[in-house]
Amino acid sequence: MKFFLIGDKETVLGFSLAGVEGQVAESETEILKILREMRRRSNIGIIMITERLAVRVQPFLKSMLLQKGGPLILEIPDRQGSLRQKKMAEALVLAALGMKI
Amino acid sequence: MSNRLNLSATRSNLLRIKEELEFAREGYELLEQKREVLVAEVIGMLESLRKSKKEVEEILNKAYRSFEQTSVILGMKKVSQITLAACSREKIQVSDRSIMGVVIPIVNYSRENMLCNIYGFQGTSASLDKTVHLFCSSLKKLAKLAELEVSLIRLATELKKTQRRANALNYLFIPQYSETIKYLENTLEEKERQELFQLKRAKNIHHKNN
Repeated sequence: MKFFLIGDKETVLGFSLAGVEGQVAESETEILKILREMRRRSNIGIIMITERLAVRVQPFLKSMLLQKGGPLILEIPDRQGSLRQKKMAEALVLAALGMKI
Repeated sequence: MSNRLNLSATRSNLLRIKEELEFAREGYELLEQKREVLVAEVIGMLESLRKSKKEVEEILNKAYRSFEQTSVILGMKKVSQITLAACSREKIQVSDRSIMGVVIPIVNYSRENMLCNIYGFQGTSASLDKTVHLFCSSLKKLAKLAELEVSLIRLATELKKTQRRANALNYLFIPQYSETIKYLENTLEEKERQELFQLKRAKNIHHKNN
């Protein structure tokens, strides 16, 4: 199985140098369409998506993440750096524990 | 206080509610156990996640910077023409494991050819080599991050659910059942007393008449 990347032009291009297949997307509908398509392909193990795009489809990503089976979802920073407010995993954990670790 | 269920004061109801209470207490014990295991797992994983995240951010940062440099040196057009598509011999294996009923992934990343440059030395630059190398190296770390993050998200979600259910049992249902049992027992006892009193009175009257 392999990676698949959804991002902006430069990020997709950069990762293509390492042999990672990717697609450029912008709008919510485009992203959702790609996600649904890639979910069906059995040779994709991990779908990477830049944080900037991920914020537009948060609920859908979350539902994909919680299903067992199907590709894993990973949000990555693009060249403009990591979005501070995005820390889904950590925020969830802290909320679940009810305290700061 | 008046948190009890509205049932008629019969012995069978009393028995039924006592069973429910026992059941709820056992359920709460189990949920607490599950919660403890999940908390331990989550806390353990959080540290690894933070580390992994930091490593990924660092290497991607370097890769992006190097990529910018390369595009300046070679021009975007030239860079777009170069891909390692034919060389993607990476293998990601995703298998599952289960913690307290939560299915989380294990990711195994391997790559056959670490160095696989299909572009020639002509017309490219060392900057390109560096960029390619950085992106390639990032993949293994990204695979690890994906494993940790997805695992943690699923575990944390389950933990929250478990916590909520445990709380519902402990703060809602168990006190409710206890209150109901108290009420039923008191009412039944009062009824019994009444019956006894009636019986005594009937006896007295019977005696008087004789």
